[in-house]
Amino acid sequence: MGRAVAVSTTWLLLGAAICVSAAERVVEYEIEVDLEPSRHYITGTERVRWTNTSASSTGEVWLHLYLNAFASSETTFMGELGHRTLRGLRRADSEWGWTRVTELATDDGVDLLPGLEFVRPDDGNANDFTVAKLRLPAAVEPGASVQLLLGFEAQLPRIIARTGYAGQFHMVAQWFPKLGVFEDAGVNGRPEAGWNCHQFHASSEFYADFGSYRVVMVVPAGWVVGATGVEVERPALTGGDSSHERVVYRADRVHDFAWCAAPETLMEVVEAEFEPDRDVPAAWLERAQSLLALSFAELELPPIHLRLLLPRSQTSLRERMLRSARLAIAWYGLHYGPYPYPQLTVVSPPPTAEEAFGMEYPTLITTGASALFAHPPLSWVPWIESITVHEYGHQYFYGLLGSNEAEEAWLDEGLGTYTELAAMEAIIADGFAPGPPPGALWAAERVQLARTDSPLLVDQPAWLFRRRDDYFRASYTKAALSLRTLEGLLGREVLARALRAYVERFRHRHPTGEDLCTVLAEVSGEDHGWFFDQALRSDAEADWSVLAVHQYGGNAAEGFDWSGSSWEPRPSSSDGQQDSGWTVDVDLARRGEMVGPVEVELSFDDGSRELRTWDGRDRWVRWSIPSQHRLEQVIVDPDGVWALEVRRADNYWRSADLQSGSSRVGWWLRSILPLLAEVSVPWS
Amino acid sequence: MAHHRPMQSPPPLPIQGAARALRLWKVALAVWVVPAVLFLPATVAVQVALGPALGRLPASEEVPPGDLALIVMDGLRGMAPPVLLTLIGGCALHWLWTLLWHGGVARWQHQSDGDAPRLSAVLGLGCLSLARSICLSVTAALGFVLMAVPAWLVLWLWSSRQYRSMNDGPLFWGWMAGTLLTGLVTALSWAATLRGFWLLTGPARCSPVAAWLRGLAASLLQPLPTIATLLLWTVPAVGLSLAPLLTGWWLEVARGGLVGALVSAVAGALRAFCWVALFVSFAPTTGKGPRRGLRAVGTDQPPAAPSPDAGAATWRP
Repeated sequence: MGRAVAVSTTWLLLGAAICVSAAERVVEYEIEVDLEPSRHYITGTERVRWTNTSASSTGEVWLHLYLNAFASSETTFMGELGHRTLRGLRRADSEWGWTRVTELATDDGVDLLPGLEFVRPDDGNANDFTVAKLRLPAAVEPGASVQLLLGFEAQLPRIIARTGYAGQFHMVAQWFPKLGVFEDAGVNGRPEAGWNCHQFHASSEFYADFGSYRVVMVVPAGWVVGATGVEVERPALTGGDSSHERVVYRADRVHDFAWCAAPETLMEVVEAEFEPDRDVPAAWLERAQSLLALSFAELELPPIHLRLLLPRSQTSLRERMLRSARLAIAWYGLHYGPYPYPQLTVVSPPPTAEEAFGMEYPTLITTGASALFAHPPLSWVPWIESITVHEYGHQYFYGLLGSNEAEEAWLDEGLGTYTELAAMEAIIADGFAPGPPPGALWAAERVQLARTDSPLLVDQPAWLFRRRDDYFRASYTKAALSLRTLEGLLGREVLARALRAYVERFRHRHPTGEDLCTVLAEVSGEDHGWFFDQALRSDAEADWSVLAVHQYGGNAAEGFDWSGSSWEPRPSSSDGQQDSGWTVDVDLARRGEMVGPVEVELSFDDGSRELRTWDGRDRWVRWSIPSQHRLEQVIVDPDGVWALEVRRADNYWRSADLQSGSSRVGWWLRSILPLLAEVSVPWS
Repeated sequence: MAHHRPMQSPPPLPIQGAARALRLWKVALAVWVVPAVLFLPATVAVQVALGPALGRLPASEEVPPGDLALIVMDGLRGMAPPVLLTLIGGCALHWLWTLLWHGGVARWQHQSDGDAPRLSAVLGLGCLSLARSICLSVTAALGFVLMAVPAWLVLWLWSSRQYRSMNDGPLFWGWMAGTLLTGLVTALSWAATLRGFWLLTGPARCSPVAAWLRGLAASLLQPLPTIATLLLWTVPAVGLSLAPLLTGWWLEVARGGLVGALVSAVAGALRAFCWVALFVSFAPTTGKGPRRGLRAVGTDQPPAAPSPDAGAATWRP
């Protein structure tokens, strides 16, 4: 089995290498943008070259104008947000956000601006202006390109949904007119070729083609800039203007570009390195080698330049932030392959910019902390490590694997959460960060899922969830627990190798859930569509229980036996033969709709244990077990393989005479209640 | 008409408190037993909700991560409102009970000849002064709020300004200061209340508000002895509260049964002793308060008409 897995993985990696380059440069952006901090305004010009890599021609181009989501309270985004966050609290005009395309033409001068038309493909909301389309003078054939020249201006909103300004800190994300993705018929179930360009919803994120970016940002002199890619030059401004600076960044094989700018009096920039020899724990290397059946050479990681932007009030957290980033790079690199870019920028937004916390962009992540984390008790909480690891994980699931975050949010958030928890367990267990005992992080996810009051369907577009809480619990929690369950069913090694193969094959491409399922089947040698269909594509829940246990002393058969020619009486116990023990009837039930194999542990009074598997196809089953010993305990799924199962009380049965009234937790709960009264003592 | 000078509140005497608490052992017994009875409905509710499910777990209680939390959540899901109600009810009744025995012990101390008190008599006196005790407690709560709120308001305004200027560096020290301040305000308010009971039930009749304020003044004038006494009795009381929990966590034999009952009994009795000792540590110097009409010191003369000099200073055994 192990050899088959290793061979399958090797072929998948070879296949990945062949398929990789076609999707990497579908778009090429050259953008020059001026930031006017006093008004939080940007004006820019954009030259975008789009290459049609599909098999169909198209006579139109669709664009995202994401900032228009913050233009009014009637947009799709704000409407779906409900009464939360900043709705109704904005006062000044400059606190809203919008984008306006001021020029639009082909590179040979054909004016396309009059033909720019806003569309609402998801909900028809006439007050939403986040998607626009334009007709091209001529269709773009497969393999051909079109170049567009745009002028635009944008009002950055007061920070919301990870973009905007807070004081003089500017987090500039989803800020430029961005092309959608043109998909062939059959991709994601499309009946015909077309543009995949969704409106900006409160619960959805982004989807775009890979390409290259060259962005020139003009900012006030003395400001610090962090951006996707790497800084390549700082050319002088024309006219000898010394009050501003031009900062040029370049990024290749990415599908988005975000940047931030702030005065250097507010934000500090720290340049550091990830050095594999120093920063990869030896124990991790050995474990990865064993887990993935790869050699040390195959696990080698390149050095990476780290750029950390953090508030000057939080410089005491500098080393902790850098260490977190290094640990994340090490863990993900070992498990999912090297980070393919030369630099990672980590931005910790300042106080009042919490809406920018915890977001991922290609080669740039925002984390978030407070100076309070430098002191106990908050210093005992692994918040900085957790948020850094989670956002860095998105460099793989979303960054390298450009899945559609709007239609299949679970592919990046679920995988991100699953890998984040695995990494954090290793980080905490190996003493690199404080944290709860082993298993506690997964326990918290299960409790989170248990709080859901209605069944959750994971695999659906983000905007179709009834509530934002459902979106988070489905896309993050349930998806992660589904992968955890899969890990239990397949084994850690198989899932780990499958995920690595998935990453290697689909780097710089747009994988779907079906692709993940396919890779899993190839690596494991088994089709797990049945699991994906139930756990992710339906709202079925996992729930098994012990219905009843009956034990009958003595199982000597009575009556007559057929000898072949006549009926002979069976010997009875009164004839001196020994009583032959017990007959135990164990009734198990499947209360949930999810069907799958589940282990059942039976423990007897002589200390022996028996492990059986029930396929769970029927609603219930009765096992009649002859035994010399009395059954003391029955546990359905004793190892918690089915992490998705959150109703666990009925998974346990214990013989009545052995049932404990002195459970530790029960004792604590009963004893702690009267102590709550002590709280009132100082006031009585 | 007899006129009594306002009673002074002397520095607390922990040793005296311990001695008196020993004499008041019946009260300590009641302080131990009554809360357990008051919270019996809540503990029974929790036991009914969780006992069967938790009893079915393996003896080692080694279960997959999250199972215990899920089982508790599931068990309490439908029972949360009744458990909460019994809990709130228990807290309210405990508050009343505390006022009752505080008032009762204070009045008894003022009127007794040093005999061991009868519990029924103490509680009877407590009932008589319950209304005033409640007023004193409400005054204490309001007093705490009035002391704490301005301090926290200043802190909050300062923190907000720091935060808005994107400088969260000093916030930790601000919050530390706030936490210490809250502790100090709690201690002073508490000591004022304890002193207030003695002033309230003393010979010089004063209002609950006046009693609390005088208690506060005395606490402010005697900060170190006040806080030291509070800590001396409160720390062991809290530790003894936790002792059965911690013992039961580590030793299965201590979760119920004879051993568990013994641990709970001893810890509970000692804890109750600490609370009683704390209260009587703030009693006036003598065990016997002045009766209506004071007896002159060292004489057997019948009570003389009270003089303007009568007051706490004239208390003698």
